[in-house]
Amino acid sequence: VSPSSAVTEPVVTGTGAVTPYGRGVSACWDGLAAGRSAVAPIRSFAADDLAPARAAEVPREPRDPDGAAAFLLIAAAEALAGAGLAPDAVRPDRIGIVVGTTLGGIRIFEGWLGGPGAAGPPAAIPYFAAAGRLADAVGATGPVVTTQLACASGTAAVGMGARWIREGRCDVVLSGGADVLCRYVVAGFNCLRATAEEARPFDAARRGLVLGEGAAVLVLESAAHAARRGAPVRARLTGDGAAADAVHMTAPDRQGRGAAAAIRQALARAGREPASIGFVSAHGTGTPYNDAMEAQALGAVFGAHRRVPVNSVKGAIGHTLGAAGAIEAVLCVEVLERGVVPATIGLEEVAPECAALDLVMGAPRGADVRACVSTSSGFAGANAAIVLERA
Amino acid sequence: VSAPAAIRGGIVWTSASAGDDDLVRGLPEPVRARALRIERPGALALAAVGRLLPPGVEVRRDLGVAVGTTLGCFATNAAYQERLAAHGAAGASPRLFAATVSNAAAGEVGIAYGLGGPATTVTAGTTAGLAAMDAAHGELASGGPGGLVVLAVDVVDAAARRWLGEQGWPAETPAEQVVALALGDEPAALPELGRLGAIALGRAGGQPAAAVRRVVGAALAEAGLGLGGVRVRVARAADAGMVREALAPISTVETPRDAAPLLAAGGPAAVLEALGATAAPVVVVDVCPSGQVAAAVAWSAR
Repeated sequence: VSPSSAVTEPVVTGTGAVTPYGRGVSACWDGLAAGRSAVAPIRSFAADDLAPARAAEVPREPRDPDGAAAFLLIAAAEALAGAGLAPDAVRPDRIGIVVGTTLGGIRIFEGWLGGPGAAGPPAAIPYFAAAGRLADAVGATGPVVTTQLACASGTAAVGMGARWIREGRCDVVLSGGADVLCRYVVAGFNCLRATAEEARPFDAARRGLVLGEGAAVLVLESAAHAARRGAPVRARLTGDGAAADAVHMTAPDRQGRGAAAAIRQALARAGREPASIGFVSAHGTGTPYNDAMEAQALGAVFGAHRRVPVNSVKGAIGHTLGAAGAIEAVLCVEVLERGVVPATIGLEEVAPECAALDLVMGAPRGADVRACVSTSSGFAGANAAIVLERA
Repeated sequence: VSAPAAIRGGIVWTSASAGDDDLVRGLPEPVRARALRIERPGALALAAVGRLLPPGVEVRRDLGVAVGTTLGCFATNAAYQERLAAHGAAGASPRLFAATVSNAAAGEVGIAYGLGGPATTVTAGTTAGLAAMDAAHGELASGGPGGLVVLAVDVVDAAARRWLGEQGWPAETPAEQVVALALGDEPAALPELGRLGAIALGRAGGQPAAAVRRVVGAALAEAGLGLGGVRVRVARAADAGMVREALAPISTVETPRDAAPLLAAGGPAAVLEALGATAAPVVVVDVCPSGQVAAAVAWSAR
């Protein structure tokens, strides 16, 4: 017998984050609210031959050979504490783990192959290691998967976790994303000429992205499980979608067809009309092509109702790759609860091709948001979107 | 999850070192040229999908792609890093870096064959192939596209083989391995080999036998079956003894025909191989040295 949808509705009961502002969701929110950029010269590894040599790094945590997993474990601990959930109070096989990453584990790879990174256990090289390590840390014996959709990995992970709840295969899913910076990653984006000294999402003078690092975790539970233990529900995760551009490996579809398809699918699964969406957390990398693509995609989806508030946090905390979608999902929960949308740091003059968007800029904006969309796109034409709603 | 999904087509291809001619034989020209200039995981994926979807098979744009991989682009990661380490930032190759993401193969397939549906890539140790089938099954059950191409692909170069050996994983695995099949009603022109009933995933938590019992039990329960009358097949022969003991008193456990163990391709290859045998339902069990366990229940169309 299939569980009823009311019983298996995925809800958010806890969130945690490690961002370039430091540990904790509050630190991230406060940094965004203050309009402070965390972008600075790279400090944690040799960057003398890197250009640009600026990024949004997490204030140094105790060295861990697998930085992405270390960030993930810290974020998960905060999320579980916030949810008031002791993992050993849940049947282990009813706890799932799904983590998105773009290149998490690569810092160890550098060391293993004789590069400048710290040598560590090579078991962390395959991208599955961080999810496995989190599963072992909380004693989870349910499904454990790593999603790899490049920079859409975190959003895809949150969507997959919600699906596991909806399917009735898990009561609790720790769902999120993690990535860590190193020479490998920064040199790679630099050589693609995708980076800039500062990120200015949707701005007329935008030149490229600034890389960041971090992790975020959401505690997703079935509504019934949360109700049984009396856990406050912070948000509902009602829809997810994914679609491919099928156009180019590193450049987005100019018309934003893949991103639009992903958003439409998420809205359809949520049973939501575009007009009912009160906020869009955009991918907003600050690259010329991405932001123009997103303006096209959002215009195509929201049409006459496109005056929905839109922001990007990547001007403040950089593009945290596989963590980005998870961090942005956590921030969407904050927006739903607080009724405030953080401003797009780095945006001063809206680019003509993005002029139809209602971009939140200059200062945070009060907004009575009942439902919002978070969208991500990445290399290989990957796109993913989720719909979060007020509890 | 929902009603069983049709398993259509099915290609299993492994090689110690396939030449380019073998790889691209029969591919339509634009795809052939692309396969010859891209990194090997993507090329293997293009070749497998080209054999799965031969010319004349109409493909809808909303068809999705789900890829499972154990190692991601390990070989490409290594090639990129070696140049970076040797020459500094000036040695960073944009061509290689763009192909270092694990979803490169999914992207290549989408571009070459015009597949614009959901494109998912998952890693879960050697169980990644079954995890990709699971992700595709979930997409179908959620009202996604009419079908998805499922791929499990790994390239094991010298660096990857060294890493596998250091981990105690199956280092004797073939250098190139890819499985492709379609899941769902599309493309309708492909033959239906069987039905996928359910997949369950779990983590051993230091108790692999208990995990096998639990995961197999969950998959069978979701498929509405018990162990009686169901064939059990392991993805890697080395796991047969443990699985046999874990599932006692069921004592018959089938093993793969190929002696060389596969990585992500092992699970889907075992499903395809089992579908070609008898009509009885089969549960395929994949036990990864990382502690991940997967089980898939399928029925043959015979």
